[in-house]
Amino acid sequence: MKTRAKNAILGRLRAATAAGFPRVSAPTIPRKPGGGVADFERFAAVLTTLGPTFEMARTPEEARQALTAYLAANDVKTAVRWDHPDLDAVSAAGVLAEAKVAVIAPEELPERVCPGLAAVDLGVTAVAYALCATGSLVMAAAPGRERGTPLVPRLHVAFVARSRLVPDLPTMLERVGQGPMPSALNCVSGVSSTGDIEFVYVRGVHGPLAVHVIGLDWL
Amino acid sequence: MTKTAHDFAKASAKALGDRQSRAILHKAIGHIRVLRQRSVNAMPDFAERQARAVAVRDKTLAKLPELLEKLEASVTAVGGRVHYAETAETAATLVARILSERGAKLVVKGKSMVSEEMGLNEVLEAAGIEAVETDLGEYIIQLAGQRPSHILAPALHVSKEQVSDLFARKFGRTSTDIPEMTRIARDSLRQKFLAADAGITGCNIAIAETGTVTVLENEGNIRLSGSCPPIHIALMTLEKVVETLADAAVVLDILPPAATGQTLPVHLSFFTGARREGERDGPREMHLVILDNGRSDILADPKLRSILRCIRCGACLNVCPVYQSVGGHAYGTVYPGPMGSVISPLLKDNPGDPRQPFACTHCAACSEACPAGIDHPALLQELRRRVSETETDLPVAAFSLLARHPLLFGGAAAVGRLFDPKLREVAAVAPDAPVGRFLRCREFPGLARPFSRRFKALARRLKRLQGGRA
Repeated sequence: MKTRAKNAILGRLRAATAAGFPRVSAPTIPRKPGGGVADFERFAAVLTTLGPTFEMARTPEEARQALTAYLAANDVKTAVRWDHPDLDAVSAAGVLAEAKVAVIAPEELPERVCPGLAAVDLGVTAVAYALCATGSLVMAAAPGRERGTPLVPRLHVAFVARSRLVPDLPTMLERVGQGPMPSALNCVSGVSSTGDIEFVYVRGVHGPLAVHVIGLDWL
Repeated sequence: MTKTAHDFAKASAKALGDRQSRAILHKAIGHIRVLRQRSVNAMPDFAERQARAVAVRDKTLAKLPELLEKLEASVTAVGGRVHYAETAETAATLVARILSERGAKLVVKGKSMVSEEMGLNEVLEAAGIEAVETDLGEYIIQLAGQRPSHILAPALHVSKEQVSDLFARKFGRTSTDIPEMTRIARDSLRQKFLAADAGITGCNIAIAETGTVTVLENEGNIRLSGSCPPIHIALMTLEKVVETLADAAVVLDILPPAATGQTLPVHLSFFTGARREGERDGPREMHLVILDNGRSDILADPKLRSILRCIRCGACLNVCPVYQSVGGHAYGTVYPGPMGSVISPLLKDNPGDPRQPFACTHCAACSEACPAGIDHPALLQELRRRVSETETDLPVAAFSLLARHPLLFGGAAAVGRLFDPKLREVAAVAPDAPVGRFLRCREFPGLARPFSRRFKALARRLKRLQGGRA
């Protein structure tokens, strides 16, 4: 049954294309590769127009202070974090422990991760890339880097190292294409939003209600 | 699913009488157009992006069977399974079977026009599976028991007061404040996401070389549907594939600006297969359903195949005077507006009113707005030609006869002049007669003084206006 449908469809498509298609009429204009800017100034300027907040940390100590202040200001009692070298560089786990935040480490997650994160206040992640042209955070799923961490909790904090900045989406896809694709690659530009009721723009629909980005200037 | 006998003329006449929906539609469409124009103006290289996108779409269509085989191999290599479906009905049955075999009872759905095309919700309901729409607009429509009216903004026609009443009835909680209503929907849907046995999403772009399903959205419901439940089923129509990540980047360069005026949507997700070894979340099972439903026949049709370039951005709907006047429901098909008028009659299921291609003013706003370079008016013209081969439209046939015989034309015009300018009143005596139908929505030209007699005076006036230039 399955093979029959496949063979019938592909058979028709082969017959349709065998006659030869006219040559592509439009010229394939090559993209100017990576001509864009990749710096924190551009990234933060675009990012903050989309809803997230941004602060720059010039040293690991400044990054820790930034996270500590954020936890206090947002009444964070519970958190979940990724296992990532950029988080180790700022001792994120230590900061959370000092602030008496109950942290679920990746290895302690329940069988069904998302329901287990429903009541968690904060997800702490790093990024695979950050796109300066669009203020986007690009997160790749991997063991210890769950999809639910930046998605289900009420708040999301992302640490963005300078070395993760790239000019734009095509540059990022070019780099991603040099290795195997992760099971999920999420490019997030701003805070979840909708205009479905009378085109009135509302932020905070399904994902986190607020996103805060801490730039790691030295990394 | 059976082929519907839909009467666009009657449905559009009814829609034109609904002042409230028309006012909402006008406001919303005006808003989208401003956003899109702003975005296009901010892209000096928009024309280049468009040319690249057209080239990628054409290259893809020319290699479609090869790319689908490559896609299947790639998806299988990353732990996914690919299924082909000839018709909307078999696709829906297939999805229901996958879910039933795994004992799924609750399914969350990201916004997907393909699932609408499949009539999936009804089939799942019949199989005892609760399917919950999770895009806010789709959710409103589902709660109201309606169908989407726009491929991007399904609840475009619903007022906030109507949503407020609906929420009061369904949740016992409501507000007239839109952010608060959004929060009510968020709370209700979150429970569904967390409890769902499976997530169903559409697919904006499938990437053959990597086996990746790419989806764009602003709300995050598709990301949740493809990330939280243990099973992910992605649905696509067969032309949605591209070859490489670089080709996907070309389409992504143009799709969000053309659709919503954004450079990128809030959530752009690349799902590649099932969760990998050592990962604790993401679906354990990933299925990709590829639907034909008449599209392989469209590819074999040199005069119409360019409609398969469509990237479903909705730009043609937002500039179409017909769509803006009657709204999406009048079309009676899943896909409304110019792209819908072309593709719906060619689909195997629910082709709508065969005379749909005649509902076009040939203003060409759609082809001008289309980022994929589709010439909708030319395609609609071809569809009209085909319809006229199979059926006779009396007023058109009569005009055709008169136009080919000048003496007869003169005679008919003379008869018309006897009644002019009361011809409309005469025609109203028999509104369903050919002349009555013809005049129902047309301004009839003045016949009292034939053009041949007015020509010399008109020529003199034109000369005067041109400042005496010949």
